[in-house]
Amino acid sequence: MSTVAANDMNDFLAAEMKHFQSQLNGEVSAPINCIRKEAFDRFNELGFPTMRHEEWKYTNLGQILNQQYELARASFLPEDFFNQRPFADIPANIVVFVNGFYSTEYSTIIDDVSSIGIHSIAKLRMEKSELLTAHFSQYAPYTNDALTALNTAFLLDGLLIHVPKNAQVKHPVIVYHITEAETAAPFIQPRTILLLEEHASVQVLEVALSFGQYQSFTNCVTEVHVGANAKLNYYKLQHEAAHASRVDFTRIVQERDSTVNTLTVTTQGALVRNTLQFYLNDQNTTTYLNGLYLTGKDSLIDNHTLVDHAMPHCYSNELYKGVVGSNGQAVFNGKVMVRKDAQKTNAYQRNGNVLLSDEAIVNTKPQLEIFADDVKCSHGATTGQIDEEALFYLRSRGIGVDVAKTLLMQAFAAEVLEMIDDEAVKAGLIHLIENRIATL
Amino acid sequence: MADNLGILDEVTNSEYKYGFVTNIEMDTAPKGLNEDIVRFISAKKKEPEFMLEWRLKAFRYWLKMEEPNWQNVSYPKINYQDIIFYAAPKERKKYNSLDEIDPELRKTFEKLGISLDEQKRLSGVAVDAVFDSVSIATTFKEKLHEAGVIFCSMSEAIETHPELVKKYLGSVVPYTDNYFAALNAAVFSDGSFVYIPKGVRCPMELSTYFRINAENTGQFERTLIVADDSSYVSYLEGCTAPMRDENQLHAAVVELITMDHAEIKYSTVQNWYPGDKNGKGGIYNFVTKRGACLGNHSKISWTQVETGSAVTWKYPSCILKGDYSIGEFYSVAVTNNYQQADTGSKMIHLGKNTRSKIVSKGVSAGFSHNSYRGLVKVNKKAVNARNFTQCDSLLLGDKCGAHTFPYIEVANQSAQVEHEATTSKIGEDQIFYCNQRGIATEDAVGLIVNGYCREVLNQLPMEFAVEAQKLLAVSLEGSVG
Repeated sequence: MSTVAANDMNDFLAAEMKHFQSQLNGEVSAPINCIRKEAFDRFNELGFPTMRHEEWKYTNLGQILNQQYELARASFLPEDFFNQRPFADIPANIVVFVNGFYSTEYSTIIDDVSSIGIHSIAKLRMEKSELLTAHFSQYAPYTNDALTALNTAFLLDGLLIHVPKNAQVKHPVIVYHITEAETAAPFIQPRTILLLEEHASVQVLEVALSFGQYQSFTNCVTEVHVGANAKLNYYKLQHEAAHASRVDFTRIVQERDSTVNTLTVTTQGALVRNTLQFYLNDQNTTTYLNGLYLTGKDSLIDNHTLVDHAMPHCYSNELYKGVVGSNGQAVFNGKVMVRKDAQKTNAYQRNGNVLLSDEAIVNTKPQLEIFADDVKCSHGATTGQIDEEALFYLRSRGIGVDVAKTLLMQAFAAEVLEMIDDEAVKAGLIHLIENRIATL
Repeated sequence: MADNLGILDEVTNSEYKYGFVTNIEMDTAPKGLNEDIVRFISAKKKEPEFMLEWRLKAFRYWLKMEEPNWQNVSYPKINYQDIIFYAAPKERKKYNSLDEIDPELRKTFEKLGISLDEQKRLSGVAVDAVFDSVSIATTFKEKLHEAGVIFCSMSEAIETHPELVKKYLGSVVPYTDNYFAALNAAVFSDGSFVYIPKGVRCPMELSTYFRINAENTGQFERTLIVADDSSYVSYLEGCTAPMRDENQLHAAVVELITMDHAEIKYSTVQNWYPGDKNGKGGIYNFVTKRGACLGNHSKISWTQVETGSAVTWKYPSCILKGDYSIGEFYSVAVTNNYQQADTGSKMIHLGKNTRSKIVSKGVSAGFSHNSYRGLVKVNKKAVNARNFTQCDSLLLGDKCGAHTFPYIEVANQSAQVEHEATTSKIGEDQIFYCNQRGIATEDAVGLIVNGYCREVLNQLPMEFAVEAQKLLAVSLEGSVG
């Protein structure tokens, strides 16, 4: 296993790609491998983004690319660590990935296979599955995004969830992405594909955790297709160690009358970059985007969202909030695009930030691009601090400064979590966030 | 760039052949741009050595730069070798009476409510003795002189107050700032210079209109306004009357400087030729405007009404360096037919307790595109900085576009920054309400747009505001129905 020296990440990747291709055996000429090769060529053309790219203006990827990594291999997971996981007491379909590889040992599916198909991509590849070939790289284009291209090029394992027509999945699906960084610094590239057919409905909760003292770098790509009149609740909790880094690219394509609720909660991380894109492919869709970022010491959390209204009569509502303490940096870029024919679009967006220290930095850019006239669009962004009067009110009732501040921040953050339907998931998240806020 | 350099060499060489340098007497520089043209302009204006040095430095820097392409407007590439960079003021065609003027132009004048005398002046009709703009200007000059205010053309200022020019010119917008600022520094022909001494409240609204020699200041204008401690000045630029101009590229630079407790209010009404209905022709208005609040408790306020030009691309900005300093930006940008506007403001908070406010109202009609692009930056040391930004867009028709690109960068926990934006169209019920009361649809649109822009128009000096209101209605003519 080779490791990398400081700045030749590219050489490292080229060598790894060669090695990777030599191990594929019978898959070399498969359609999926053609996509891999094209994606790698595209990655080489694009190169890693720098701060000169408008989309990466405030986020310097260089600092995590300069580390030494190992391409992740299937790894171990101590039982103790697994047992202490969040949401352990919720009855759910549990899917576990360790360093991007599906763990049959820990995963348990409780719902009937007629209502949901949960597959490891590695297994589907072996079986030469039609499902995988038909949907892989169909919704998350890599042509303009170097990291998505890189993920596509190194496709090995990941998760494919398929909910057939009219199926209402009873229990939530909780996907644990666990990073083991105890023996080396892993470079992990998982892929998730979520497919909801017509009238299907499911709730997916993704939880990223990590252990070990080494750095880690996860570059994950999620592609989602939501069929007509289907409903998806898709929540992400990024709860890795403070020295873990993650670049997450998610693209969701929505068909007619479908509803998607997303929530992205980032509690910490050295560098976390979330790109969440919605492509509204047909009329009358509903989309909620919610996000919460808690940025502490030596941490940079970046959220880039795009809602692309291509068709009329769609509704989108976005709320992202952040608490930035210590020398943390938060970046928010929310873009709403209303194309020419997307009349009667309602698109709302709000971003709120609280700064806790003079070292903290917030860079926000709410962006609207509108080409249709009969629309209602608005956006708002605020950056401020804890309300002095509210603080005084609490203190006058005998609550200490620190407790009062924590209370107010918890209340500030709680608004984002309001939209979660599932009470058990909501309670679990609130508990976790409250603990984290107290440490900021 | 390599190509340009090739052409440049060619041009330079060929001009030497004809002994270009000795040809100082001529009034118009040959087409194109090279060091000799810069020297020619400087010599023509009898500038001191330091100005020539500065121009040349700017020119050399410009050669190394590339034309920016990040903006949300598109226009055919400008050929800088096809422009005449210096031309002495031309005599305008004189008319004997208003009847000889283009009736279209007269109609517009009437709609704007411009007085007959003024109409004559603007269209170049010989003015009678009663309304002699020169004599009025002279009276004003005396009054200003009494107060100690220096108000003259830039060339005059370079001659009479070189120390002030040397100290402040380029201090807010250095030639290294951007492509067009460098170009302007190298070849600017003239502009206005204002200096308000300590404790003086300028007795009147200053305007380019009243400055003798203001005509034909050319396409590369340079304005510098310095307000010393506790002084106040309100400056008007532009005119509501439609301006026909031969020059296609306008790359002006405006620099404002305020010292302790000083205030500058800068208002612009821009109504240059926007091109015809099909988007042919029209002016490119690429202007760099920036003010520096150097002193404590100082204030700079920009107000602009932009209705003309094929392409408008400018961001009047404030650098809030002094503690307790205030920056304001009020803007109405109206685009119709194929016009494009990419405008907004930058507020850079450096000092303590600084405040800024941005109110931007965009109206797009026809096939036009209107963008707001702004930056609010709160520096680490800017304790208690406060900003409020509101940018609204109004869309008339489904073929136009409205875009917002606000950048907000905050690095201080005590800062309070708010941004809000909305995009909407004129409600059918609003139009119906007006129709019901006998107001034609076109007039109703004018009425509603005026109400929507009121917050900005209120900032304009009284008589300007009235004209600006009418101007909005005229600009949107033909956009409904």
